[in-house]
Amino acid sequence: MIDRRSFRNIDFWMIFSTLALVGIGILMIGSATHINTPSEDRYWFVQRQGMFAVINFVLILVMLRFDYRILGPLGNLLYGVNLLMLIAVMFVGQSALGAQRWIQLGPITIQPSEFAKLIMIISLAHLLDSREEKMKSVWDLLPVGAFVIVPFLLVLKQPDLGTSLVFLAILLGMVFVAGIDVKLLLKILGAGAACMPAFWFFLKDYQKSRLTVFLDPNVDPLGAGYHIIQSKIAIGSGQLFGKGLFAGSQSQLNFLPENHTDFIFAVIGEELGFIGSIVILALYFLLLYRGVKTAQNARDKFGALLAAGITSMMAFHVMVNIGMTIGIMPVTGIPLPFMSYGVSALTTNLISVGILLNIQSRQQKLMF
Amino acid sequence: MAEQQLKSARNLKIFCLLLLLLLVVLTGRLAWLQIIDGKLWSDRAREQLQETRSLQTPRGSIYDRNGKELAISHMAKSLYANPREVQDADALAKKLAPLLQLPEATLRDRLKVKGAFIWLKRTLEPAEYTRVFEFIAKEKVRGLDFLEESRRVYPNDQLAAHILGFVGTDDKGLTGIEMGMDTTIKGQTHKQILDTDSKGTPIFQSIFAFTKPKPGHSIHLTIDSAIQFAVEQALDHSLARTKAQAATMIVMNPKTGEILAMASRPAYNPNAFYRYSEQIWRNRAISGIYEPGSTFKSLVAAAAIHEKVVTAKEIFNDTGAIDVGGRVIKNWDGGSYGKMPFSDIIKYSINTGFAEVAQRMGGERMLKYSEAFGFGKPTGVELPGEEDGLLLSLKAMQPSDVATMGIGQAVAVTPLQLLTAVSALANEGKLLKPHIIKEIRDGDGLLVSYSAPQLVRQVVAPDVAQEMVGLMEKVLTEGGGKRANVEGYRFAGKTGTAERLRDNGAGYDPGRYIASFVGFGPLEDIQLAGLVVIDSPRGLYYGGEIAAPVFAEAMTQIVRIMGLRPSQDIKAFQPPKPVAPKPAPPKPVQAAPPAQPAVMPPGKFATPDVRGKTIREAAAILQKAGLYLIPEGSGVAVRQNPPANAPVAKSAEITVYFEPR
Repeated sequence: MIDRRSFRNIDFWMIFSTLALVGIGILMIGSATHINTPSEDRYWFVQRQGMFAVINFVLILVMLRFDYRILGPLGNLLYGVNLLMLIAVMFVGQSALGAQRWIQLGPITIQPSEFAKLIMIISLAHLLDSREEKMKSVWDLLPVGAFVIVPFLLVLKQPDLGTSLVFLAILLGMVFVAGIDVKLLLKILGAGAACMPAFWFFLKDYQKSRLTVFLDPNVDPLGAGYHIIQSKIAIGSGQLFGKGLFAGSQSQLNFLPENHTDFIFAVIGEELGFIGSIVILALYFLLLYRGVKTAQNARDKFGALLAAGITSMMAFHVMVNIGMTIGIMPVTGIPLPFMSYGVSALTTNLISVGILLNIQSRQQKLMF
Repeated sequence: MAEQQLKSARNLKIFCLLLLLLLVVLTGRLAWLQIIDGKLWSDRAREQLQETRSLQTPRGSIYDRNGKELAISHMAKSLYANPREVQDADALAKKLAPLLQLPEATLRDRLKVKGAFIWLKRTLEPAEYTRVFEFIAKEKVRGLDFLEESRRVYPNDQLAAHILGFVGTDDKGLTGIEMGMDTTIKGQTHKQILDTDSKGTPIFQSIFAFTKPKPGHSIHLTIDSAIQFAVEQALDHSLARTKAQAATMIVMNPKTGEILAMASRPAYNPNAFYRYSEQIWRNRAISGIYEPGSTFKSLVAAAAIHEKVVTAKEIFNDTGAIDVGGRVIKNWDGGSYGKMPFSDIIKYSINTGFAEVAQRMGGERMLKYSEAFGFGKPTGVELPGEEDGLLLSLKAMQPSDVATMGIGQAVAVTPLQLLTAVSALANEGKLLKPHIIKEIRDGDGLLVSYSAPQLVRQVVAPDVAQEMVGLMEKVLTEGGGKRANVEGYRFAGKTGTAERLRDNGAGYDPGRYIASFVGFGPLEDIQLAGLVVIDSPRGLYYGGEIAAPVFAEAMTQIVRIMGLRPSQDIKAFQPPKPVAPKPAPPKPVQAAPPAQPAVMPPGKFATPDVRGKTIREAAAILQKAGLYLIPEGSGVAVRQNPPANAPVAKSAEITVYFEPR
């Protein structure tokens, strides 16, 4: 039996926004894939995403029984497993689209870097929790930085710039919420920005071209700039009310590549218009706001850090993905949480929501 | 600890504000893209989506006078390639060549064309389509696809082939009605803006597709395919018997100028026209010129009687030969017939008598009447490639030419010209313009135009024409045309035998003849006129022996097809006694059928009820009844004038009022 208390305190708004985003996401995946998939399994993507959504919702309910605090002591173990998994990808992983990111496990293909994000959050929360009062100087932060840099580099090597940047976003969000001095943080960020030109040399050619076309997509409209231009055409031509569900010419007629994964928001913008896009943004804001609330109300610091990390991860995903589709962020290939097709990402995000609900349901409130 | 917690709480608030800022930035950017610049991006979307491409709508059908399909367009699959998507053109061409039966090099060149669309083979046979389809599916070939295209089909194969003609690639009619009416029935070339996907592949069957265009106008011929069949059968039998090189027969209604059948041998199958030589495509009925020989004498006689240079009773003395300007004209059998009236000169086709009459007429009048009967220029029938024939000019005419013209030489005609001219005799001397198109209807079945009988001129007086009919009947009952008799019916006619002109028109082909017969009937109410021309038969070559039986065979069938009443005064023919009508069963009182007059006035019939029908359905019903639809409004028929079951004559116009459902 599930603890009745955990239901009494369950965060209705978080569940509502999650369900809405996943549901609309499946609809849009259907719109993006049903025409360009062979007819016998026209709804293969929809069925798969739907099936994993259901499995994960059940998983969330089961998770609510266990106290999130059992995760803390597992932090170091999970960190080790994480490194092993990422190293495994380098040797037994499968390549697709020029990157080696996937591992075949029986019938399913998993993307360890997706789970790595969540594991990173748990282990980092455990680390920061144990390092109370040590947030005053750069030296205090060095061990924390080292803790993150190893998995960061492993993911960057795949290469998966997007996900590796998510690690930095998580780090940033968590030390911020851990109570870092804002002035210190700004100094570190300034130093990081100064190092950017050096960082440029480590980028692969395609990553460089993504950044240049971000600045001016028309440099290469049929090559690297193609995604950005097509995505902007799709969203822009959606205008106020959109072209109607399943009726977006950009997404239905293959102008928009990767339209069921990374560019699902372009399908939304095209078919549901400005109104639909705003609804989606509002749902994300609601979810993220509840995430921050969870951090504020958490009964302990570990819970607050955990919630902050998860919220930072999601916020970064939303910002970078939507920003990319509307041309204000470079193309980095990170999916839109809950909506993009991809069962590894969906699982990670739903488990994350499960953890947030768990923290929220065990908040310190007076119980009568 | 407390300080840390305080900072933590403050930073969470900042975090919250940052999220809000993110929301504002994203919303602002979306508003900019979708609302401010929305039109701009929509234009760009349309720009890359649409491609202008010319599309053919299906070619209009050709029907016979009863609505039987003679030429239809059905949808066939055409194979095209998108060279941008083709991965290995050389290998693909090699594999496709045997499937499509096209040279490998041709395919290779097409597959390498720059662009997103090129035809590989149009209107595939079903078997070819299946082969290529399976090949694509099995090997997962990219860049090949099919498109529905209209393909011309002639369901009756060679029936009426010379009339119909055929269609080449890109919907172009190459001969016959297909060519003559090409612009009318051609599927319109629509400069259509098509939606295409990112590979340039047109989207035809999706919500992005435009509605399918309507088919072109349809042509309804005056041809009756049953009569056409009877005629073609008679020609085939004749060819089998005579081993002739070619043969032609035309049947028309002399009262209206409608051509009921027009056939030539050798014929071809328009579904596979490319397997035949161009000579065979030619419609001899309108383009094969020949010297009409004795068939022409009927016209000479009519003109001479009209000009009063001779009467039927005038006595001629036939000596067997006559010398005209140094040229000796003999009778067909070289014999002499002695004294006989002009009526017998016609009956026995005496050359000397006609040479004499022609000389009395003189060159000027001979030419004047030839032109009046329509020789020397095309009849104007709606078929392409009609010849003028040859008519000497007055200046070029030798005295001998005048005399030989009297026996149907020194003049060259097309079969259609001759039949049209002789039909004038059967139509009280009125020459009508022959026509082969009854009506033209648009894609909805609505009448666009129809051909009414068109008088060209009164050539000879009605009583002269009437007298000629009587004289020509004797040719069948007593003279050289006995074998043209149609049992049970009164017909009139004239045989003809002529030396065959060389194909280049210079002089005669020795030993080759053209046997012909022209006739009309039934004489009580003449509805049929027919001409048979047999080119270069082996063995017997006289018109009365070779052509007349073909006429008889075809006409015997045709009078049955048309349900014409046999002549009353032929004793040998006893129409079967109608069975005494049984006493009518008692009628149920309630089931009174809609008010339909028990007896229709002669020549009239009940107007069909089209109420509740759509325009298309109503047009079909009325057309079947031989009536014309004048539609008013649109939707479903609510009223009609004349009302349902009112007596109406054939070809009447029925006004039908339609209202939206």
